[in-house]
Amino acid sequence: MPILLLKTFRDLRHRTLRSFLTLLGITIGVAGVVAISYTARNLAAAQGAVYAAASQADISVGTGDLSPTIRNVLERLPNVALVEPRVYNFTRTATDLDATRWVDLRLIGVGDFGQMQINRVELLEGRFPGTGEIALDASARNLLDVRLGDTIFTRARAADRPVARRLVGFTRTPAALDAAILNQATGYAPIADARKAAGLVGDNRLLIRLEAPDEAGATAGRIGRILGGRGVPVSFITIRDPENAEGRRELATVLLLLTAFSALGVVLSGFLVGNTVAAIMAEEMRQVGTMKALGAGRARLIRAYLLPATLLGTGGVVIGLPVGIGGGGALGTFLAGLLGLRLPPPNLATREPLLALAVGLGVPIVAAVIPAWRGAGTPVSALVRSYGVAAADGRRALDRLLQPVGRVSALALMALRAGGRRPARTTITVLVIAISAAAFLATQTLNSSVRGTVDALYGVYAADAYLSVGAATTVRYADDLGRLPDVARAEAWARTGGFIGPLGVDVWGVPTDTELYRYRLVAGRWYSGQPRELVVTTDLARDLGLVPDQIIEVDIGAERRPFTIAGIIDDESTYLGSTASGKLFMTVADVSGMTRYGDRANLFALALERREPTEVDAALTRIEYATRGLSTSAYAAYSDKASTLQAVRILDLLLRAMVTIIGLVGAAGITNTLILNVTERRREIGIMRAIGARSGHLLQLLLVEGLALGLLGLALGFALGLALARALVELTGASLFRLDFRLTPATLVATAALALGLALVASVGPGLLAARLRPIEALRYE
Amino acid sequence: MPPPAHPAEAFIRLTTVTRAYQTGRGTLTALHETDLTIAAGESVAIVGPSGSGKSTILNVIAGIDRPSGGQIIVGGVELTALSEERLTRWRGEHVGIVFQFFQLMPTLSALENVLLASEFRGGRGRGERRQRALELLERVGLAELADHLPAELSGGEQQRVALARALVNNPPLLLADEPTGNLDSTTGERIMALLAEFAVADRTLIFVTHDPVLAARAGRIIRVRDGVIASDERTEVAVDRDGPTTGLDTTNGRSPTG
Repeated sequence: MPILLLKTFRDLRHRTLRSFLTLLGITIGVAGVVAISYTARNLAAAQGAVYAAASQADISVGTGDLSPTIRNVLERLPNVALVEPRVYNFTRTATDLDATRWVDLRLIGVGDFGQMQINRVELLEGRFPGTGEIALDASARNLLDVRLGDTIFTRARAADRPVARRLVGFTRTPAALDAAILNQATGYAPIADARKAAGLVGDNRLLIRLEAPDEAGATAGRIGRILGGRGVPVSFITIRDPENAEGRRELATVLLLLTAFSALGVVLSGFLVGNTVAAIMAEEMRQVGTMKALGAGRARLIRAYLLPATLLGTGGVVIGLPVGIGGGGALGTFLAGLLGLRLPPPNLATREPLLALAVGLGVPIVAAVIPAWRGAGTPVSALVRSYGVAAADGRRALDRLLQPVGRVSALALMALRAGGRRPARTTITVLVIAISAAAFLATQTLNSSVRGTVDALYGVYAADAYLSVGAATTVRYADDLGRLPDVARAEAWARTGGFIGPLGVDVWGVPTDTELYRYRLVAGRWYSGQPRELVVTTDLARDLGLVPDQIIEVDIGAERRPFTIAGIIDDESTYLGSTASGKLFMTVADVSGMTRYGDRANLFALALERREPTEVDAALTRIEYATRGLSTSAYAAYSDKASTLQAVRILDLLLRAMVTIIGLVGAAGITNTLILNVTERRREIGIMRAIGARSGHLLQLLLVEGLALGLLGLALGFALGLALARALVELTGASLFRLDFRLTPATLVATAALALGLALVASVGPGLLAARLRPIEALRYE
Repeated sequence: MPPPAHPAEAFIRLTTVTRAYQTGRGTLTALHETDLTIAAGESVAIVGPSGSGKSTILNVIAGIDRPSGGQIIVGGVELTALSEERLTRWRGEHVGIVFQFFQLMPTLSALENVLLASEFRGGRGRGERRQRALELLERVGLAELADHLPAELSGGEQQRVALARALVNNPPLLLADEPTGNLDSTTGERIMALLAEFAVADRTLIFVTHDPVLAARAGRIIRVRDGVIASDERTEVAVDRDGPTTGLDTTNGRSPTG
């Protein structure tokens, strides 16, 4: 074996702890970057596969009771390849008749499970259901404790008689969000069972596959007109838009955050590894001098000192790459599960090994070349004299800074001046702490911004509950509801879907004098009650360049009518999985006029006398009983808010995981620096022991040193964190929904506690290491 | 040859002290079953060739190193029975050490280096400690350089700071390991004179040296060879305890010039 390689191996073995820490640093860096890249790549691939799958319906039409024969009519239309009917029944389920809370269930009736061509469902366990049976989407198990063979009960309303169904299968619905996120389970039953449950003779959903999906807009219009012409009420027509598909926004946000954090991870691990390699090099300067004295040239020296970096880097890549792929696989599977995606089988693209090599080998080599180059250019005499660490730089400046504090103890001065002895290392460590603190501050701020925005949104929708009616009902029914003992106020609303050109929008009919929708006007005014006036939301106005007083054409059901924009309001709230580009608000009369419901409402917004969740639940059960003649179904706003927050939970979880990793890397960075400081100053510590320094003094020395680094890092971290938080909130807002920036004092305090706590905790180990040193060992150390 | 017994009251007593190290080639015995008694107030030079074990004697007396066997009692305290922490505390209170390479903290000024040792010992108020440190720096002639870092001082000046540091807690035992080994002869002389000057009253001074001339200034010379005491003799020329070298009155710790 060449002597140089032998020397490298022995050097690494000689400094076991340091070599281990460096290897660990490189491995964490490599594994983190590989994991994030692997997750992002495979999630994107999974999403692409789902949306490319021909199984997805190109157009979905929600209708009233629809004769099955209509299918034949529609299938004869140009561009229509296939039409499959379904029955969608929004009901509730429980495993026990006496359950206090029934879980929302979307029961989908399917004609022939074996012949499903559109929105195909995969069977994971058991079999597809026959009469009196049900199969549940596997994610329902997040909401219900159920096993195959169990009997579960369904009922749409508290007043209904529950129907017992036997659970015979678990399925997976591609691209459907997890039940835990939607706070709603999905189940499948034979279409006849679903019709019976929904009180329908025919179907209420048409799934349509097209020959030319590009022409979906024109075909959708034609379908709308045909259905309208036959007097079939159309509640929505949705065109599949691969660019705006269900879960796309959520996934885009997750991927964006993953990418942002992977960049931070690269920077942090680069710092950590660079720091350690540079420290090892600094310690070797005397040896460099000796080797130069023996005739080693610059190239040979650089080669010599690249070897340990290369060896450690190779070790980091060899361990970090598989660990990263394993971790990425686990993270990807978790996220894919929540988003209804299926991750491709374990695979390897060139991207991950390349990233691993760049982080694992590139960074350490660059970090080693710089000091090696400098060392090779320094005269032998200077190198041989080089011992341990030099005296402090910038002492006078520091002393001036400390003057107002008064006399500081010599020990504290030593600790504070220590940073000036290795300015590069101190700078890097401060940067590592700053980045950790900034990441924490930014993620916490994002979190509180999301929560704050959700709170604000539910402040706009001021109703405590919404009551949907089986068939559209006259708006005057609101007066009857208002007289119920539990109800403080009731408003008749209408809700449907529509289009402005090719763009899908949510359409809300709300009374002019509404008290339960607290709109926030940005421009213009709220509509006055004149026909054909509406207000649009800011996102829609932005996308389409709409301004007040402009006239736009709106398609609802089979109708297209011109409307005048009265104003623009700020309301970017969106229900989960929504694919709409924005909202329109108009009078209920305008909405129902276009859907041919007449002056009728399909939704009643209620303000209740008592607002606590249990009181709301009890009141809604009483209201459903009282209104059972209209097949009403009530849902509470608090539960809707909870399901929105549940979606935010993934984000929250992900952010916490990232912050933990970054915090750990940060702590490793401080520990590493302080351990290097201790080993480099063993001799000094030995002298201090010799002149009477007890363990407490040495611990104090290292704690003050760590705390000083922590404070500097915190100061910089606040500045960086604010910028990062703004960027993160802005970016997340752009891909999820518009967020209000909220920085809370609690976040600032928590960030400070984290940075300083990290610094202190990371100092304890090196402090104990210093305290354990026996003076004679330290004095002997060279 | 067994060392001659000394009748004076024993301040330091080493009883069959052995110090052995494990090396790659087996056990190396630096000190072999050594007995030694030193009375309070004595000034002792330990001499011998490199690797003879002279520094080991100094280190075990200071409690910096622990013997592999035997017993060490200093000032009535059995060092071998103390934990590392208690030993450190004891050393801070009772021992002043001067090293060959000065060993000042490079980031602390001369004054702060002296203060550091008194901070470790604690006890007195901050103002009083500072006063004492300044006084000592003045006595070693460095009052004007008190704010300088070690790197800004000459070797002799650094050793004088180290001496002030060793004395700041007024220890009864002053140990010096080759205190002039890294200095030119004139500066070395000056340091020895200062050492002698501070070795007053009951303060015991033990120093290790290669230099026979310097050794001859001690009241007693112990020669060590291959880990055993080869000879132990009193000299005719004792350290000049009242020497006028710097014209300072060392008994009350004050300069006559104020």
